[in-house]
Amino acid sequence: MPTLIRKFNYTRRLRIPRSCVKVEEIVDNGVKSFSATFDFSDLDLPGSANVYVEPYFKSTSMRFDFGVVSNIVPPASTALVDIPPTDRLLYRIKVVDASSGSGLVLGFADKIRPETLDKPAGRTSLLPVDFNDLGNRIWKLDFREEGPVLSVNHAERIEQIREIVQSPWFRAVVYPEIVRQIVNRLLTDKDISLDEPSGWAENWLRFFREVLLYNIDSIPDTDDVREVLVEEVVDTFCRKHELLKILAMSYANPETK
Amino acid sequence: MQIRRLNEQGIERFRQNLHRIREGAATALDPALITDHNLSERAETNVVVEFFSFRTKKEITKYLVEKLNISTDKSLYYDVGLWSWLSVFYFDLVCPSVKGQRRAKADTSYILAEPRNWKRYYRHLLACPVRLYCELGELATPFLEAPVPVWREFHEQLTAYQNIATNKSLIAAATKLYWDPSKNTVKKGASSKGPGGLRRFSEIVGQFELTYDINAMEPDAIVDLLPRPEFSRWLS
Repeated sequence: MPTLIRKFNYTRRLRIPRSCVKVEEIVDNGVKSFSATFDFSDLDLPGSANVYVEPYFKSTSMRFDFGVVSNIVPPASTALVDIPPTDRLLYRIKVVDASSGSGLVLGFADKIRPETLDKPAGRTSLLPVDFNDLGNRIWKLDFREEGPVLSVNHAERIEQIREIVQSPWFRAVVYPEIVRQIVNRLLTDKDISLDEPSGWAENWLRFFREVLLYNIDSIPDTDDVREVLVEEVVDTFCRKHELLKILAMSYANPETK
Repeated sequence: MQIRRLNEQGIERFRQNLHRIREGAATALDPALITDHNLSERAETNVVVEFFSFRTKKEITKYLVEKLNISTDKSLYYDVGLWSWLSVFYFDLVCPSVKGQRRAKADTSYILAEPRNWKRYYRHLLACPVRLYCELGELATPFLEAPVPVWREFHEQLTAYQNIATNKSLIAAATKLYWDPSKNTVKKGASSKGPGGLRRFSEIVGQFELTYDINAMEPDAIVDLLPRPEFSRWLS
């Protein structure tokens, strides 16, 4: 039975539409910074309210003061020096009541992506790739708020890491494990409804249904049955994408490795 | 001793040494880690550090902040080789030998891994206190009034989240609630999992952030928001 979720907004905080905010990232001499522009003209926000931009990646964030609504003044530097190197930084915008010192948030926008990373309208990547610091690991699947992301070590000592990720060899070896983890998550995460999926879960279930012709519509009763289902999906994925053949070919023709 | 930084090989050797200590196969680090040119290099700066028996994190933190002049060069926060070498140099402080035995913690307590990932950074026994002191000044006192290797639940609760650990107003509010300045220690029961404890404080602050910009608030305003009577006992 569908659950009705009621959300209360006692303080009448405004949700700032994404169309009112534009964030662009710039990389100069290896240092990433950003610029942000705002159009608050159609929003009922006091001109004296403070505007803050908070770029963040997982639990690490920075905070930049952009002046007030009626007079946006970008800070002298927006260098993102305290945040791990990543291609998938998100931005939070806060408009805060400055008059009473209460810190009341009057307007809010979250999960803003910089323009350079935006996909063409209507298209979203099923599995975004992000290059960041993974210590000694080569890759891992991250389940972030936005959904699963393939995190790859940006390690400067592996200059060709971006090419490696695109290679048939990498896909043949790594993607089946990714599919395994995603199916497992779909079947074990209590926040995901297979009846009424949304967000990334909906996209992946559609992929399994329409591309692999494998419909995942119920959660198995036991761990054993779940494991069998997971293996079937992984096997179907490998067969559909001919991964064994791709791997064999990449060894027969090392240039494609 | 002129300050140095471990190179990749040095960090790997340090890691192996820590592993051997944990296994009980060694009780000390390989002394080559300090000066061997294959394992470390001289830092550009001519800073000289000495070994003192610092009693608390605060003592060593103030010493390092002054020596490294870190307030003017915050890029040092992220210098993996430097902080890892300092852990080697001060190993008897960060991992003291008690009756001939050392209890080495996880590598991240000594080796600064993924320096821009706060979830790892905050565990470093030298880099994190130094950074907190630089960001918070004397407000960092509750984090620092403990022997160098000691990591209590109090520290864990307040430093595990960057948005809490580096937020002056929040730390001032937590200090007001849970720190006993007359005894220079955490109030008894503050780290408990029960109502009004630090865990609840972190949880509730997370909920406030949907409505309030905690950075823009005065410490007293944050305390005023906390539900009564749950938090009343800490205000007396």
